[in-house]
Amino acid sequence: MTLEIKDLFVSVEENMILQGVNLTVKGGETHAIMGPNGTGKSTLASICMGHPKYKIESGDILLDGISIVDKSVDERSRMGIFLAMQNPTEVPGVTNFDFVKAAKQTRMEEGKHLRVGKFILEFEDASTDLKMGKGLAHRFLNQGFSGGEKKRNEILQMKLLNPKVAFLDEIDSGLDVDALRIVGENVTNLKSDDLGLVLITHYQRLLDYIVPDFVHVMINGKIVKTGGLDLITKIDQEGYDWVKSELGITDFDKKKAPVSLGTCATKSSFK
Amino acid sequence: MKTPKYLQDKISVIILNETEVINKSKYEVKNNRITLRSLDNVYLFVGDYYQNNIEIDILEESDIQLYMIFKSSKTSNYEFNINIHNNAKLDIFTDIRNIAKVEVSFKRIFNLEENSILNINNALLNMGQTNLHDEVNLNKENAVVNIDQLNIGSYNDIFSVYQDIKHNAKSTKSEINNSLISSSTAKLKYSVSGYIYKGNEASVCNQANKGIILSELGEIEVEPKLFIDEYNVEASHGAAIGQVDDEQLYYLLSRGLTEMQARTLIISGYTKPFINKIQDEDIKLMIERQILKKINEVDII
Repeated sequence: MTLEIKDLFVSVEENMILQGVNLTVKGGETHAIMGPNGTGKSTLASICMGHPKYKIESGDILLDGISIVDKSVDERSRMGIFLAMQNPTEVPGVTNFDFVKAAKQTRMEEGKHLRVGKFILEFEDASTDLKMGKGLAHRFLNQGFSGGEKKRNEILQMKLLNPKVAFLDEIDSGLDVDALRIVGENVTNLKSDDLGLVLITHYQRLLDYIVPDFVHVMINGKIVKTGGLDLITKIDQEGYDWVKSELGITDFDKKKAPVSLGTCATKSSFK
Repeated sequence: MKTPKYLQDKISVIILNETEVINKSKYEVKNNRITLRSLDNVYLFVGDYYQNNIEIDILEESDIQLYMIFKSSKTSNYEFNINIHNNAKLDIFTDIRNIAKVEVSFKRIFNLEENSILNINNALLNMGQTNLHDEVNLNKENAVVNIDQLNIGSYNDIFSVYQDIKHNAKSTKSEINNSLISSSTAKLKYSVSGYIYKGNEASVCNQANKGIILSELGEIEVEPKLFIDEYNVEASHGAAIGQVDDEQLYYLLSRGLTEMQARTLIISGYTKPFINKIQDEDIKLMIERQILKKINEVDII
């Protein structure tokens, strides 16, 4: 599996958020993306998932050599992209089990059906691993969940849907120490040559549990620095100002997306 | 008139229609009055029966599940007075199904005595024009009513619903949950009112109305109203009406569901909690089929 993000420019409501992102994630690799607030980390995850709010101005995203920029959100998911969301949405009246079962069924080859009995056991095992309790299957999707439960529920879905590349967008926010350890251990156990991981985080604490192979710093919509574990320690101790000084980055350099001014030469006919 | 197939194996069945009364229950039906007692499941099938007021009594300490099924082929008016006596519990399930696009009107007055409990589950899945007025009088202390109503309108159905809850005593409780779906050009109009009169302290009066409009021309109008004349009470009301939520849709799509599957699942979030409350498996199956018929696939997407 290889995900390639090539010179990606992305805007939202006329503001250019991503300004030339390049990133390659291969199966078996874990990438951490860090950076100050509002630099485009979550936008990168959302645009790879295909969120309709964001617009690709230029550049490309390829999964195993196939461009996905024209694919719909559900097609991308079935191709193997997964996004563990920062604020998972509540869907009242829809049980967790019915939802995950429906999602799993969409991945079945044509003519094949999900073996529900086996899947119930898989669901229960995943729920136990994440310490979600026995009643999870019958609870409505994310409704009434604590912040930590919502995040663990995202990881549960990831475990059951077997993605090729997973973006975990601030999966550590809202987690207490024990929950962070549970999430960290579960994600680490999922690591394999068939899965590429992209962790978006502000804090070292998540990366103590899920050790990345590459650490990227994103500022003003670009990956400006890439390194190893030593980079995390330095950021944790000193923040991002040293990166900005080292690279001569000035604070907020957000460009406007190109806007059409319309056509001047219009004619109206009077009857 | 034949007993409908799904009722043939039931023990307590009462069938009322224009010309005859078929009573397969142990209860007497006399002068339009039925008295239910002890612990029982009772099926009351009403077909084109538009005689005047029917009176039902649930005797003290009884625990009754009453399935009220209406099947009309012509314009009909139904009126009921239902009295739930001290310490009695009534679970009433109402299913209205018309054979043709006709206008049917219902007026039901429930009177609750001390420590009595009324659980109303109304499935409004019929075609044509429906006027429903449920009035609940919580007349004595600790009387409780819970209403769960599922209403799906399609084509040019019209539903006009009044729900009036009157807290006539202290420490009475009411909860209303309305789940409304409109597709095609269906119009659903609701007036939901809770009254707590002076002196009836420690009462609780909550209502929640949620609606989803699946088509451009579908309409849902809800007026949630509270009339409170006492300080020491708990009361809430609200109405959330709209189209399928974009964020919910995106979330479901991001897990691989197609748009059709995602929308269907979101809509099932309105219908399934209601279906799950139906204990009779035959009725449950019938309602599930009816829901599938009502929700137009063209409107889902």
